Amino acid sequence: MNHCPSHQPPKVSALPTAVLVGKEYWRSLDELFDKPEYREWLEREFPNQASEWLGGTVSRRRALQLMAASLGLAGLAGCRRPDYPILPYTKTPESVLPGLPTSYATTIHRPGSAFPVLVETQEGRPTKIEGNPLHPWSQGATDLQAQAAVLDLYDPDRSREVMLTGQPSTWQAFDAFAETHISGLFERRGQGLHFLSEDVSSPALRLLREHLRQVLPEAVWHVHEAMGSENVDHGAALAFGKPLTPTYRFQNADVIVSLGSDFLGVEDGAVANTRAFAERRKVEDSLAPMNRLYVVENHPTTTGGMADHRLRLPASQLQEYMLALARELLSRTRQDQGSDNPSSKLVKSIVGVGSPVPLPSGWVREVATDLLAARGRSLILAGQQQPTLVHGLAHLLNAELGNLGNTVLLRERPEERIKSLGELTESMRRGEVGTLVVLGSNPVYDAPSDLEFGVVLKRVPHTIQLGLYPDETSAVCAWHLPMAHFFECWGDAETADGTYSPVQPLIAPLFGGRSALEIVARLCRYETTEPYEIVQSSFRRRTDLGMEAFRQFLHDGVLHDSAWPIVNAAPDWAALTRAVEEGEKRTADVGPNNLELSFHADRRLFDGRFANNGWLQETPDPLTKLTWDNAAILSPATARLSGVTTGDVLELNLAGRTLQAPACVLPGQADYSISLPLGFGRTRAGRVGNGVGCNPYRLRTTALLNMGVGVQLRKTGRTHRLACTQDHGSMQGRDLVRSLTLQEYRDLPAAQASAESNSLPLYNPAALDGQHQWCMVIDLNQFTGCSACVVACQSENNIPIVGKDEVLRGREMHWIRVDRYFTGSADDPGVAHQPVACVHCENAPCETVCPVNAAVHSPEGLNLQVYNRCIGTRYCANNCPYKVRHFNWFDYNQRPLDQLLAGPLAEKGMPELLQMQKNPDVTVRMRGVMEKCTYCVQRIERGKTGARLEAAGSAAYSIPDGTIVPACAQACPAQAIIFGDLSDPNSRVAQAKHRTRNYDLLGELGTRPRTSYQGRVRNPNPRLAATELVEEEDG
Amino acid sequence: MNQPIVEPLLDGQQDRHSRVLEGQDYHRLTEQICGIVERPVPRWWWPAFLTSLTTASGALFAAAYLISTGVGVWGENQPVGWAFDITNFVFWVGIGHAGTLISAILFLLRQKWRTSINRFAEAMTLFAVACAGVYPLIHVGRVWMAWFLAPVPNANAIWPNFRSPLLWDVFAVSTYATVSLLFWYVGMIPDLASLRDRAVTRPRQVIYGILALGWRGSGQHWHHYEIAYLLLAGLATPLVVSVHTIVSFDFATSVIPGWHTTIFPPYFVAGAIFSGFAMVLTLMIPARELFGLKDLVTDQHLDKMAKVLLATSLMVGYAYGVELFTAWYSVNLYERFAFQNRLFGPLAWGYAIMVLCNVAFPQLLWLQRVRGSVWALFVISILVNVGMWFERFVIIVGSLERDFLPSSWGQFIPTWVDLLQMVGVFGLFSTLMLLFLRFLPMVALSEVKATLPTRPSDFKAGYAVDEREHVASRVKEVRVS
Repeated sequence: MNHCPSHQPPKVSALPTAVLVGKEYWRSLDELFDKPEYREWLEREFPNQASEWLGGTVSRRRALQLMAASLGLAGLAGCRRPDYPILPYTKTPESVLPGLPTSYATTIHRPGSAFPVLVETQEGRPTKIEGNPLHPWSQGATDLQAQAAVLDLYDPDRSREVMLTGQPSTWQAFDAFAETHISGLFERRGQGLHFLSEDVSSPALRLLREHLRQVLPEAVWHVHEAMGSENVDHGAALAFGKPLTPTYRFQNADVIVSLGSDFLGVEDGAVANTRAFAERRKVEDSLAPMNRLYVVENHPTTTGGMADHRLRLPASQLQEYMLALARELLSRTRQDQGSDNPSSKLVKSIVGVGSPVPLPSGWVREVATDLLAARGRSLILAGQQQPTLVHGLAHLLNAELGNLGNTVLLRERPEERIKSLGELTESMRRGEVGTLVVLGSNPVYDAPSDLEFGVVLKRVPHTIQLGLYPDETSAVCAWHLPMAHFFECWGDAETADGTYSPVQPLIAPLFGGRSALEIVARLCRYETTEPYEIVQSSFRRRTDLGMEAFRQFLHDGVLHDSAWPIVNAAPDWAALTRAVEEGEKRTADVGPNNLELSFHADRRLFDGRFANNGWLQETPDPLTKLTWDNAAILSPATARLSGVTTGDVLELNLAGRTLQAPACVLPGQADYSISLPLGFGRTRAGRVGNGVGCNPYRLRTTALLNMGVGVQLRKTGRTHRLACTQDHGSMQGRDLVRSLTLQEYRDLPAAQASAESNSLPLYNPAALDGQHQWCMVIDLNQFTGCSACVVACQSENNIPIVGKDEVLRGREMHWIRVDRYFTGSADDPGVAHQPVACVHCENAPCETVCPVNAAVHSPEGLNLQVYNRCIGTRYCANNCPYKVRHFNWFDYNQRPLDQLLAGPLAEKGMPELLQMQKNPDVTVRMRGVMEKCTYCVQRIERGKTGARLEAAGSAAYSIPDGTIVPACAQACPAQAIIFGDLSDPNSRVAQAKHRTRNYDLLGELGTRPRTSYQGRVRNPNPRLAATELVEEEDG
Repeated sequence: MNQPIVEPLLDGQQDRHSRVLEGQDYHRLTEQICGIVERPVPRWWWPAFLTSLTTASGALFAAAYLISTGVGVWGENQPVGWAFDITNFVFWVGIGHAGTLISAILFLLRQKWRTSINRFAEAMTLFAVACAGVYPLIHVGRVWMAWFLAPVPNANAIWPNFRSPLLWDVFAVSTYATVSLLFWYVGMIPDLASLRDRAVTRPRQVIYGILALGWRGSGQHWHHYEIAYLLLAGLATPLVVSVHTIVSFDFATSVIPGWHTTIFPPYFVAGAIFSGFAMVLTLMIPARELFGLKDLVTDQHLDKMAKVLLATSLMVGYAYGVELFTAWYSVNLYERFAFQNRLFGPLAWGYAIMVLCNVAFPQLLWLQRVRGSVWALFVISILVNVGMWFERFVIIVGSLERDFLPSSWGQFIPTWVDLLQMVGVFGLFSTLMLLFLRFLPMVALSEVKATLPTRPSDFKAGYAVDEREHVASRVKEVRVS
């Protein structure tokens, strides 16, 4: 087709005629959209249309109108090309070849941050998301939510039209309303006008806010995030006197202590963190020593799973641990100084507060020793939701250990006066809010329940909500405006460290949505309402660079070195001492009679914004392995105490508010601490997300935002079926995930490595005589279990979701599953993750048993599944020792998931919107056939074709190592998955296969898998390990 | 080697009296057996037939729903890709062993007592194989593509995969069905001729006339018939062993612990004979009551079948024991776990049912009293049927539920479609059985007559009854020499 990809961005109109045709369609459609007649025609059902013809009253004019409309629709279906020059990030800049995807750089907004991506488009349809390799926050990798974002674009439940008090309206009607309404506001200098947005870090929006302050100085801007970073800001403000933004350099850290920080999981920047962290877990390649990670947390997290030492503590005791660590460290760093110095005062105040909780002694002493031994190369991290004091003390200790400037960088960002949701609610209660504009936020769902936001909102005379979905908040607002998806509009963004990146449209708005920039510009009468121009102004203002640089900015998807300046700061000892003294004195401790409840962001749905994304709903949580649900997570000891088993519905009562939630007993959870993932229990998320799970926001109040002590637990006697994809957590004494300590690994004799299965194949093995021999190595030492690969694979390979009922039956379709095993004791286990996809056995058990030759081997070592040959005997899946084959039990692609059992009576056909997401290079499978990982054979073939073309027809061609990357490996933030050609001895896979910790899963069966694993190497602190052992024996 | 052949012949005269009760003669026998087909249907037949037909239509409905909607309407999942479908397939194929065994092997071994039950058992075999054939066909994901299993020359040069035991199954079962059908039909020709000759209505004359293939009972006919029958018996004999051996290969050649077992071929064959004899007993006991055939299918017959049941039960029990021993002796982690799981895992109840029904209860057959009690035999035969069903279920589902990677362990829960399909196929079986009883001679007249004591008056009927004895003694002579 005819996209406009070029290094030199031409205006669309400057392209050859072929392009113009498409553009003309587009233009006419644009015009048609605005015509009331067209709208009228569009909204009428087709059968009614027949009356026009039957009646014989069709005028010439009407007939032409209808023809024009159908022409317009033809344009709609075929060419949804945005109307602006977009700079592609592509291998073939001169032109786009049909059938070859083109990538564009853009950015996804995250709370207070952003995530830079490249979006693969197939002739104008975004189909796949990859990380932006030029941007430091991605380096080519992505996280789970970024991978799934493309599905939101095509969500049929997205808001499709402007609504006024629940009735369909039009943009024209809204514009007319806005015009008159704003005139009144301008007369009152904006008094009574309040904006509520998500924490969108966009310089363009900042520009508009500045303009707003000038023209409507009385207008107030509020920001609300359910999982916001206020505590991080307040903590920095406490420690340094100003809200500096800390960013971390894990690649420099030898010893990391994390206090409830899931920096490899749900916290912002996890992709970059994981990359930097994993860099120091590479046992063989890295010159720097392997790092050591201590994690103190109440609920198992991805980060906790990677820990060398993990301490389970109730969330309310993390602060105690921080105080104890601070006391230990400070008394050892400053012991030679007098009692007058600020350090001694702080230690004294800590002693004064007293610690009611006995902490494992080794955990304070030995961790402190380890930290002191690594001054300047250590790092103490506090989780985003940790109290201000914990953040403050973490900063102080980092400063004390000389980590500032080495592992912790403090950045100063432009300050802006923004108010909170609490302040907005106060104003609303006082009746000061005349007009409330909600931009994307959904406070009726996710605000602390004591604010009663939904109730108070009804008192506001004029409410306007711009949202991607008709959600809980739009149900209460007068106006609901469809928001353009971030793949449909212009904008810009900054990651939390200030690195600047663009938001480019990849497709014209599917449902005629507008962006927040457009709405705000209109409301504050900015010089233009064109987001493109606003973004350009914003770029000029932030960078003082010209258009040439702007083009490069769009092309790269990042402005290099644009992060906020690094500043030096000294900790404010006095303020921290005061904070310790004024801190809450703990009276009752968490225990069998005083349970604690903590809230945390769900690893998939985050705070609930992704609730209508089927891919995320069906991704199993890496720890609980739950899909389509959240649950109250209890430790086995707590469960025994309360007589609860997994699936029991509990009634939780926290400070008078109650919630019914199913229980999930999870080893590794702190005793007497119950965790509830947020993000579920939506009532107006859409067809996918409605009524899935329970809504913990109902228990969450301003005072008990992140945790509450004293929760009452009652069994209701009912049970709830939890769709868990893995019921067994024990390895049953089988060496599936192999694990060593660093010392054991170093002592391992090299000879042991080449112990290979020498079993003889029953049949003549397939001739593996291809030019390439593809294989994969998965490094379990770097693999965190983040599950980005699962959704990357789903997105690349057109894997359907199957719904909760089917997951309950064990029929999930993911080609990669992340196995989770517990090791050690049931109460305090270690966690091991292992991704398993088809391992492409050279002696594949599936191939010999298929009666119709649908499972065959390629000369390049790929185990191929021929869909149109498969008749679905399922013998191959039965005989697969790895159980990686997935059967299409129903026509998952063709039938609505709630009508699978209705068979031929169900609706048939895939909605056109969902068809647009599909990867054209991969077959969409029908029911009755088996499918499984192909090593992304479409990418292999594309790579080979490219190499052959480059070799200009000569038979000898070579593919440089790393050119062909399967979707899972490309997405992996930890670079745990390596793919390549075994016949090239210099390839990374070939090298990795020679390592001593390389092993074949179930290799003793003689299957000779092409995917091998690299054993985990842990780096425990021998002295702490010794004390833990002693305490365990004592206990 | 010659002993078993010679001995029954030597004591043949004495044996005849115990085989068929006194007072039976050719005419009465013909009246008795042909009468069943010729007289109006007994009162119970229609209700029984309609019930069976209704149940069978349940199977049709379940299959139609399955094919139109997807295999997902069954309870199968990942990792249990086969459950009720293959369990029932193996169950029915197993039952289908008794007929051919009784007809062919016992014929070759000159076990004369078989004559009054072989027709019935062969019919049961055929219907059981038909029921078994339903499952492999409908269990595939794309039934309309099932012809890929056949080696049809095509432009793509794609052959079926001859390494796959599933393909061996296709050939083994279809061969077995064909040979069994021929054997059954050929054996029935003289009796069909009797029915033709006795027919009083035109349609009966025509239909039985066509089926009898022009049989006139001449010496020539008998001569060819006997040789054909002998040849077919020779052909069918290896099939009795091969079919279930190959069915067991479906499991034995796989890698799944609990399936991958070298003892499976003999174990499965013994189990098949065991279940086949049990099913013959289950069906024969009520049939001989209902049709008044106690003088043909005597208590002696039941006693002999009970003894076979006991013998095969011991073989099956031995196999169960050896399996466990081998698992322990192998020191293979997965193998040991698979059997530990079979004994104590989630399907332990199924294993208990299997051992009780297949090994424990049949031990009662050591007692003469139990073997002599029709009711006890009936109950035990049904228990054996149940036990053998569970044996297949425990092996197939139990092994799949928990194999190598604990992460992918699962559980199978049947749906209503699974159950309806299973019950419906039983309905299909009883429908076919009832039709057989109604329209075809359920006892091999000519063969039974051959065993009756010869009296001059019998020759009035004009049957050359001793032909068979002559053929047999010729065989004996050849073998002795």
